[in-house]
Amino acid sequence: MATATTTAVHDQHEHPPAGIMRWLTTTNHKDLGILYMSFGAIMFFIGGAFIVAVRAELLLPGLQLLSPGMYNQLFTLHALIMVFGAIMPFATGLNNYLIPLMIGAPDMALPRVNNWGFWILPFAATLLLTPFLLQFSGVGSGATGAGWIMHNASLDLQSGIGIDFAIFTIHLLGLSSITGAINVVVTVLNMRAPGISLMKMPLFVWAWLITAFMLILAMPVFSAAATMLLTDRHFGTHFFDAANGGDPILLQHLIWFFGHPEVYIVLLPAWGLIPHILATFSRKPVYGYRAQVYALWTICFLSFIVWSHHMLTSGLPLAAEVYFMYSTMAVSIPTSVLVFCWLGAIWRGAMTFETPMLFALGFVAHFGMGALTGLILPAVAVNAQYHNSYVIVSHFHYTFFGGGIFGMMAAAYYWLPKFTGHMFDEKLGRLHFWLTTIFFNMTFIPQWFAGLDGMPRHVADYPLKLSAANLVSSAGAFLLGLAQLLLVYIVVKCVRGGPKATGQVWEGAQGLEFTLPSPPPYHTFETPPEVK
Amino acid sequence: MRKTGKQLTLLSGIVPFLFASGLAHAKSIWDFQEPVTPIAHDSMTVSVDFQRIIMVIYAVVFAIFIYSIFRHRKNSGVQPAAFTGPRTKWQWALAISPFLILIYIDYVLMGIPAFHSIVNMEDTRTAAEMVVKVTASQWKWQYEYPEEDIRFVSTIATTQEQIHNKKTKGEHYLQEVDNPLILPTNKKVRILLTSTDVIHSWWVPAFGVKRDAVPGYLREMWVNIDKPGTYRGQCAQLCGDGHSFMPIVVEAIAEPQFREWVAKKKAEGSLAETAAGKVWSRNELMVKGEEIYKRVCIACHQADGKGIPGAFPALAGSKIVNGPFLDNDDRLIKDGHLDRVMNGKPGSAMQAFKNILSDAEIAAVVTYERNSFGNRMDDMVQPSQVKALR
Amino acid sequence: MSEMRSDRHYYVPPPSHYPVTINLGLFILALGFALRINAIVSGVVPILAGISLALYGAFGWVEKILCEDESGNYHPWEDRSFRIGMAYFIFSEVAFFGAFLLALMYVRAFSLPELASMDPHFTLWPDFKGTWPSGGPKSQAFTPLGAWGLPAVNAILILASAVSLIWARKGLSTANRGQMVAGLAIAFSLGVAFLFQQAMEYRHAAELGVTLASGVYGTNFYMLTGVHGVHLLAGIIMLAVLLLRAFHGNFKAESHVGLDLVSWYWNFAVAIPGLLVFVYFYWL
Ligand code: HEA
Ligand code: HEA
Ligand code: HEC
Ligand code: CUA
Ligand SMILES: [Cu+2]
Repeated sequence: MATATTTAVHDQHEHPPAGIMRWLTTTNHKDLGILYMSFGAIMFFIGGAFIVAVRAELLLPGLQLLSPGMYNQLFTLHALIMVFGAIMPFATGLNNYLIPLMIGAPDMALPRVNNWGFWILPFAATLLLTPFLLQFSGVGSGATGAGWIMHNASLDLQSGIGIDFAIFTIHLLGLSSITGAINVVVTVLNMRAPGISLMKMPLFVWAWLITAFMLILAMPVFSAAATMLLTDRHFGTHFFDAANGGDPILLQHLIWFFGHPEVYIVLLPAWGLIPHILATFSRKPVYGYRAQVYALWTICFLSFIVWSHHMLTSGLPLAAEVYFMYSTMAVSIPTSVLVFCWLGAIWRGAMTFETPMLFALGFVAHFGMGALTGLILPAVAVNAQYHNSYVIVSHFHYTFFGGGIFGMMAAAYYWLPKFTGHMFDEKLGRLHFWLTTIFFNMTFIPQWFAGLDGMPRHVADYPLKLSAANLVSSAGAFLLGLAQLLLVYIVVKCVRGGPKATGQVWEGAQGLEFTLPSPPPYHTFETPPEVK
Repeated sequence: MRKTGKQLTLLSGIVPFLFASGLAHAKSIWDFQEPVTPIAHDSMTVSVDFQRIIMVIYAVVFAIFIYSIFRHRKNSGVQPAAFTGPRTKWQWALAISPFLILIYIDYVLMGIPAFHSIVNMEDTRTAAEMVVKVTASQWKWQYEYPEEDIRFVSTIATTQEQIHNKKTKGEHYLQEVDNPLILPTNKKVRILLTSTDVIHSWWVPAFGVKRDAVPGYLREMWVNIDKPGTYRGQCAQLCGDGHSFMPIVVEAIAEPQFREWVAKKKAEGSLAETAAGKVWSRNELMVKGEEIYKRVCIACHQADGKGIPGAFPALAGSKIVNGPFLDNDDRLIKDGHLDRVMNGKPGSAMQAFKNILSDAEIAAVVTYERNSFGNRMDDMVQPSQVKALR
Repeated sequence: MSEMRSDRHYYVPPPSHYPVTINLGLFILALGFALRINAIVSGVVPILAGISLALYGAFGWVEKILCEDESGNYHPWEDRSFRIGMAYFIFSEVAFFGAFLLALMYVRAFSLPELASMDPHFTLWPDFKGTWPSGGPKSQAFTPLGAWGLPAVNAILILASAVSLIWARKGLSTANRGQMVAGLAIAFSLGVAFLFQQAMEYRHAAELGVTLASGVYGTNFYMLTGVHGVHLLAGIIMLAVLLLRAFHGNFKAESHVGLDLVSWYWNFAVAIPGLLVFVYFYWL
């Protein structure tokens, strides 16, 4: 195993600065991983709190709590925070902590850039929320209420200052994501210990490598679109203005060119780590390793050529509609490769059902629903009924929450003992899983039917016939939120103490990170380990 | 571990059960609203079929998962296998076949009906018998029958009191308008869409159509309603604060009644023309003005004329409202009250209302604003003046 | 690969406050800018403060890297990290620039023709033709810019600067320091000349009536050249740093990662986009 050699280079970072300065200036991948993950977790609760207000408004027909403008701000911030503030940073934290351990590297390849990428995030979040807070002191018209994809932002003049803050937030986030992604690519390509060839890397590392490629291609386009939006709004350009030859639809093309890959960016890390967990608790090797790697690459490629399935009602030419329908359906093939490999992973294993395994299986069940409901959305003529209705909201919460969040929870429980050195309370963990599963379905199944019945999204109020569905959904959302408080308790309890975790943590766990003690020392693999 | 097993049974029960129970009541919850156009019929069959297909896929795959979860558990004493991929021919066949099935489902079972429904939906021009032009603006729809020279605006009829829970809500809460769109049944109607400000989307579920109204561009779609009745929908593209309150109501009536309605509407139009020539009294203007204000302007400038700080200016005490609107030669004063209402303010939500309101309506609403909310200008605008200034 | 890392340590830098400092600067900049364009705060002080803080952080960081480089902390293993990192950074820059080029192509291929050819009876823009160059139905009149004057000269300049960088790199590997310094100096001056010419081109454009008010034509012209200009300026600064370092005797045949990275940047994020602008905006 890694034995620390003392050389001149080495002793500079024996003593990290104490207190807050340690965290502000750290270049250590474990510190940064913890920072990223904590940030993601905190933002999950903030994003959740915003949507609890939304669901409270939707509990009953009529306007009770919020003005329509405030309603728009809340769900827009909810989406931006959940996607860019919660899931993505959490997944980045996992990669920071785990990739060097999994490939036997001393740290990420560009440690200072790593610090840079993280410390943009708190500033970006502050910037996004500044106008939201300013409005309470009577300054400005509040945060952006234009939806997370900002379809109308070039035209919607009431969005006021919020949009501008969102634009700069997007620039900062872009910087963060791109630097983070570059770091992953460099680390994976350059820092693997001898013996770990590309095709021997754990799937989580593969998935992150591919995610990083997607980020590097998609994120700049998002920044560019935001830049055009800014200059259109304030500096007299006309990208999106028909009278001057532009096209509001161009903004949608640019943003969805980013936005569709983005949904896979959110999910790829989870797809990467689910096989680890399934294999561990089935006490079997990963099934169909190569098939999964190729499937991930295929999804990566396909995700860049299907973006207009989000704009099927915007009046594209017939040929484009048919093309985007068929290409979108093609995504189902590589995705089902993954699903069947997960099945192969547990088939004839010796399964046990600890909390991470439960969340991993929950991931499979819910993601399956989200993905299959996605399969019927691109049928253009029918999409006219689904588009911008609650059918879509239901679809993407099955993928984002049922996939993304379940995946992140599975990962958190799986590696929590590794990070903290303590086992968590298994009983409570299972309880958390069951409560989350039940209330999650209670929240989002009624939305599917409300959508079929014609409930549009983005509305603060709805006709009376939709009351029942919304009542159930809101109740589910509150309970789902409360159930998450249990998670806080479990994590805090685990950090503060508990039964000591062994290095391997789980009986069937494989992988380089499980050869280290729990928690691993501050510096690991300062000389590369030998891997056969 | 035993307990987990029970719990998993529960999970495996819940999800398919929810789907299955839906299947059983196929007419009630899996359907869209009752379809009344060829497109809507088409998309409903396609949608219901597709939902069945994915439910079957889900049920089959999930069943295998559940089977494995029950059979392959540590406490039932199995030894874990060590395979990492298919090896025998039989296993390869087993591994490949789902994808062949999936490709078949994607591109044959689903792909072909979906393709036909698209072609049908996009065929807006063949044999179209009539055209309606819809112009969206923040938060109302303007309907125009170009061949008949009829034009009117349609806005929400649900009152603020109902929305704010101060009065009981009616049966069609949020889905009622002052002037519904009237369409004949059994006639292919081509609908053109555009917008004056942001992107909106015209959606009536029973017609199976939803299409964006893009400012500066024309989009089109078609309906051919096979059953008289009242159909309700609403704007489906987030378009600002009033997005929740932008309903669509269509009344479909048989052709003869439709002709009658057209004739009546045209007569009203010429009445309005003559009305524009007459000299209105201050009282008449105020009454009509209040009606227009409540219908059109209230969404932004609010009932008390105080607007919404930061978004919509107050009219109460506004310099523009309390200033002159015509210069000595009876021309519009730039940025005066009448100019602002007739021509709007480009680049803001305040649009040019001369495209939407009649002479009398503009005259009335301006008069009303000048003498309400504490404004006391004691003057008025005559429809004939507006007419001259168009 | 394994031989390059042997039993050597990968250099993991000690904690550093520069990244956070840059971020704080960027935050203040963004905040100040957002408040200013919305007329909530009128001064430029926050903007300037933000920029200075970010620049201070950036220069401090670069200086740190150069120190580490010169004091021999970097070996081929670290070297490779920088190269891969820069390659992907350039890739992201190209994607950013590509979005603007795609916007231009979209306008030319879709939005202008569609504006002109709506339904014959109900067209919204009756007299609009929709052929490029055009600024859209309501734009101010202007005379389109020609390709074969300044723009062509500029295209040649930028091409020449790329070539001279390659030549400078040759000089390094053949241990011809003079050639290296000369190549760098030529590339640098060509870059500056390009920038100067571009300013002339802007003046010329204004004379022809090409402003932001000339619809998508002016929009695409100023945004494409503007985004390119910013990259060019960054490249020029990098070249200046290289020149200074070359005078100081930096860069050896076996250690020259800085030189390589900058010339990649110049070739792929400055020169090629410049040529693409020439081809797709002026020429075709
Ligand atoms: C992580 C997120 C994620 C993922 C993975 C997906 C996956 C897919 N999505 Fe989804 N989608 C979103 C997030 C996601 N989506 C979001 C956020 C939106 C809305 C954005 C907005 O408007 O705000 C959206 C909207 C959206 C639309 C636009 C709808 C509209 O607005 O009109 C469409 C249309 O085609 C679509 C399609 C698809 C398809 C075909 C897939 C495919 O990838 C699915 C392929 C997979 C399969 C088909 C499943 C294969 C599985 C099996 C064969 C077995 C399964 C069974 C068990 C596991 C038991 N999605
Ligand atoms: C990763 C992404 C993600 C996640 C995790 C979630 C999680 C949730 N989302 Fe989100 N959502 C989006 C991404 C996500 N969403 C996106 C992209 C949109 C589209 C926006 C747009 O159209 O622009 C959207 C839109 C959206 C809407 C539609 C709004 C509209 O169109 O009008 C709704 C409505 O129900 C909703 C609900 C929920 C709920 C109930 C949860 C729950 O799962 C949240 C559970 C978590 C908590 C509740 C927080 C934890 C607990 C506390 C803070 C304690 C306090 C709690 C109580 C007192 C009850 N979301
Ligand atoms: C969609 C929202 C909206 C509607 C509906 C609307 N307005 Fe406005 N109005 C505005 C906005 C925004 C402004 C501010 C324009 C500016 O100066 O930037 C404004 C400004 C005005 C002003 C000038 C007030 C001042 O002091 O600046 C008047 C007068 C006015 N509107 C009258 C009307 C009348 C009459 C109607 C109805 C027939 C109406 N408005 C409907 C949004 C609206
Ligand atoms: Cu109009 Cu929403
Ligand atoms: Cu998509």
